[in-house]
Amino acid sequence: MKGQVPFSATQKSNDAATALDDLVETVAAYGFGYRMEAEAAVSGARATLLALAIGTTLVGIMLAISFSYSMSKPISEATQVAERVAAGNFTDQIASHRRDELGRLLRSLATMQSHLKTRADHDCAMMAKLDAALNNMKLGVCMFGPDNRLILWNDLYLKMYRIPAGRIFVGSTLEQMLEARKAAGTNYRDLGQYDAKLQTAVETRSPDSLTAELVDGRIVNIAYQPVENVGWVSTHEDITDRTQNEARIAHLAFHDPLTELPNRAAFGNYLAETFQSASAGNETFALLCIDLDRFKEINDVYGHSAGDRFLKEIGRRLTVACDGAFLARLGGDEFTIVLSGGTQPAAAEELCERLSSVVDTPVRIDDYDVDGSFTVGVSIFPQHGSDVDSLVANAEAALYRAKAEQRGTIRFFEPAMDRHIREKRVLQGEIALALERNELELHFQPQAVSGGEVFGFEVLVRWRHPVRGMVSPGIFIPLAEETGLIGGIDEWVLREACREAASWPNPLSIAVNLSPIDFRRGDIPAMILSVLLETGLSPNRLEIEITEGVLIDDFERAIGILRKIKNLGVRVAMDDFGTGYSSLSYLQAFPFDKIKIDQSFVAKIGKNAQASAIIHAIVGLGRALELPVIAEGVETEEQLAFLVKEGCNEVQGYLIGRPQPIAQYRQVVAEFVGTSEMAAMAS
Amino acid sequence: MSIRNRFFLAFSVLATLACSLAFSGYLGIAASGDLVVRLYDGPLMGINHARSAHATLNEARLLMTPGLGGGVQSETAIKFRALLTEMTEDLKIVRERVKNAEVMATLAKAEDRIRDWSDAELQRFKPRRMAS
Repeated sequence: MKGQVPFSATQKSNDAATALDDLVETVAAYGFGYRMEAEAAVSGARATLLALAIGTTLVGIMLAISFSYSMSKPISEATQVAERVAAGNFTDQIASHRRDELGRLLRSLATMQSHLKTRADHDCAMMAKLDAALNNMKLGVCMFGPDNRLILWNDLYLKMYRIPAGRIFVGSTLEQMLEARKAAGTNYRDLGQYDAKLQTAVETRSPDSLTAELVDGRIVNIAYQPVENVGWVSTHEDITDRTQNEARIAHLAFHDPLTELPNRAAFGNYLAETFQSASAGNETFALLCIDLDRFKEINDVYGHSAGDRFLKEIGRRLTVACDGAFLARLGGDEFTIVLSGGTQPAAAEELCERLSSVVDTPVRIDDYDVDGSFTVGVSIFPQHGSDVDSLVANAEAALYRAKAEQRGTIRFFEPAMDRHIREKRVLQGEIALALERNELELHFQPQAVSGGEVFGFEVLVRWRHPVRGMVSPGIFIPLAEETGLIGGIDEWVLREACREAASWPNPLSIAVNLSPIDFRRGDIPAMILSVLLETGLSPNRLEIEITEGVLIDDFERAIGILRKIKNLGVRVAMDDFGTGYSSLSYLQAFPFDKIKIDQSFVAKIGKNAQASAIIHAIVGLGRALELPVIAEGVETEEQLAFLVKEGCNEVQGYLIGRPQPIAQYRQVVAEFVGTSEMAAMAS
Repeated sequence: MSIRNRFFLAFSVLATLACSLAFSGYLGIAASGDLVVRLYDGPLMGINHARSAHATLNEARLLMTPGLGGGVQSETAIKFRALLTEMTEDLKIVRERVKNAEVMATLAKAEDRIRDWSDAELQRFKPRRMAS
C-alpha cells in the first residue's frame, strides 16, 4: 500500500513530534532553572563583595579617625614642645602618662629640656663669668668676625675710648668704630700707621701689634690676634702710665733722682765716648773728681732732708758753673765733671776757678745758712792716663791727696801720686797673702786695775812682713778695710786669741777689736759663737771692742747685732770713747759693759786742762751709769795717779805692759802676778 | 598599647578584610564560571540536540510523507534509518548532558513515541505476504 499513510503512523509521528516538543520545553525549563540559579549566585557574591568593601572602608575610616585622635594630637603636642624647647623656652612642664612611644618621646623631650636647661644655665653661668672676666680685664677687647664686623667687646674698650654705650653694636664695621672713636675724641693721631698695620694683620692673618698715640695724648698698645674659624681679636691696653714709668726708669737708669744729674752709669758711658773721640781726634779733655767736704756733718746736724736739699742746690750751682761741661753725681757727696774741648789744662783751671765760686755763697736751708766746700782732683787726657780707668784712678788719687793735705783745695794729678797708689795696691795685694803665709801674729797688751792686778789683755794684730818688717796696723788695717780683707783678719784674730786664752791656766779675759766693716758683712754673732764653741773659751772671758763707727752707718742693725753678741754672754766695750760727737746717745741706746777712754786724752793729762776735764767727765759718766771705765795709753805714773784720783780703776798702757807676743806674758797667764812684776816683764 | 602594635593590629584588620573581599570575589567568579560551563554543557547543549532531534524527526516525517519522499523505496528506507540513527544520537546526547528526572521522563516518553512511530513506518518497508 505504497502511497498511503496509515492513520496510526501519522498519529504516532505527531505523538513523537509532540513528545520532542515537550522534551525541548522541558530542557528549556531545566536551563531556565540553571539561569535562575546562576543569577542568584552572582547576586549573592555581589552582595557579599559590596558588604565586605563597605565594611573594609568603614573599618579603614574608623582606624584613620582613631589614629588621628590617638596619635596625631600627641605628635602635634610633642612637636609644639620641641618647638618651644628649640626656641629656648625651658620653663614649660612636659608631662605624659602615656606608655607608648609618644610617651617616651615626651619624657625624652622633658629630659632633653632638663639637660638643655642645665646646659643653658651652665652656659649662662659661664657667660656671666666670661662677661665678668671680660669686663674685669685690664685690656680693652674687641672680637671681629671673618667679615671684619664686630662680634663682641668689653666695657673697658668703651671706657678706654670714651665711646658711649650703644654707639657701637654687633655687626659694626671698622669704619663705624673709627667714627665712634673720632666722635669721642679718642682717635689715633697717626691713622695711616694704624690703618696699614690693621690692614696687614687682617689680610695676612698673622699676629701683630703697634703702639699708637691717641689725639688726647694717651698711648695705647694694640695687638691683633687671628682666631681660627672666628676672625680676629684686638686687645687694647692703655700704656700711658707704663710708658711714662719706663721713660722715668730709663731716665733714672742714667740720672740721679735727687739732683737729676747724670749718674755713674751715664758718666761711664760719656767718659768712654769722650775718650774714644779724643783718642781718635788727638784731642784732650779733663776729668774732675769733686768731693763735698763735711757733708756727713751737714746730714747729722741738719738732717738728711736738709742734706738732700743742700746737694740739690750744690748740683744746680755746679751745673751753672760747668757751662756745658758734663757733670754727674756718682753718689753721696761725689761729683765728677768731664770737660772736653779747649786747651788743657788751661780750660780745667778756668773751670776750677768757676767751681770755687760755687760755694762762695752759703746754701740757705730752712732758717740756716749752710757753708759748704769741696775738694777737687783733676786728671788730664792724655798726660795723666792713656785709658779711662787710669784717668779716673789718677783724678781720684789727686782728690785723695788734696783731701789728705787740705780740704777745700784743687789738685792736679802728679806722677808721684801714681807711685803712691801703686805702692798702696801692692800692699793691698800682699795683705791678701799675709793670712795664707802666716805673716800675721797676735800681740797681747795687759789690762789691769789701778792696783796693778792684771785682769785681761787687749789683743792686737801685727803684720811681720818678710821684706818690709813690722808693718804698722795704722797702715794695713785701713787698707784691709778698703779691700774687705778685714773680715778674714778679724775672724782669724778672734779665733787665735780665743784659742790662746782658752789654753791659759789663769782665766784672764781678752778684748778683741772688730772693725765697723765686719758689721756690714756676714753674721758676726754666729761667727763669735762658732769660734767660742770651737775653742771652748768661756763667753764671759771675751770682750768685743767696737768704735762708734759701727753704729753710724746703720744704727738699728748694729744695735741688733750687738744685742745678739751680748746675749751670747760676751761683753761689749765702747772703744776710743770721747773722740766722737754722739757717743752719749749710743751709751743710752745700748748697755755697753765698759767704756774706754781714748789714749789721746790720757796722753794730754797734765798738759791740757781740757783733756783732764774730759777724762773727769767720762769717769763721772761711767760712775753715774755704773759702767766700768778703762783708760788706755797710760804710760806714766803721773797719768796713773791722775786716773786713780779721778776714780778710773782700770788702766792699759805701756806703764802696765807693752803689746807683745803672749810668750812674754807666760807667767801672767800661768798665775797671777803684781804690777811691778808686770812692768819688769814688759820692759 | 604601643603605636607599633596599634599599627600592626589596624593594618592586620584591614588586610584581613581586604583578603576576605578578594576571596569572596574569587569564589563568586569561580561559581559563576562553573555555572556558565554547566549551563553550556547541560541545558544549552541538551536543548540544541533536542531541537536537532525535532528537526530530524520533521525531516523523517517529510521523507515518509507520500509524494514528498524518495522515489525508490530502498533508498527511502536507508535515509529513514539514517535519520532515525541521527535522532537517536541527538537524544542520546540529551540524556548524557541533562541529568534531570523530569527531562529524563520526557526524554523516555519522546523516545517511546519515536520508536512507536519508527516501528510503524518501518513496517511499510517490509515485503507484503500474499493472503492465501
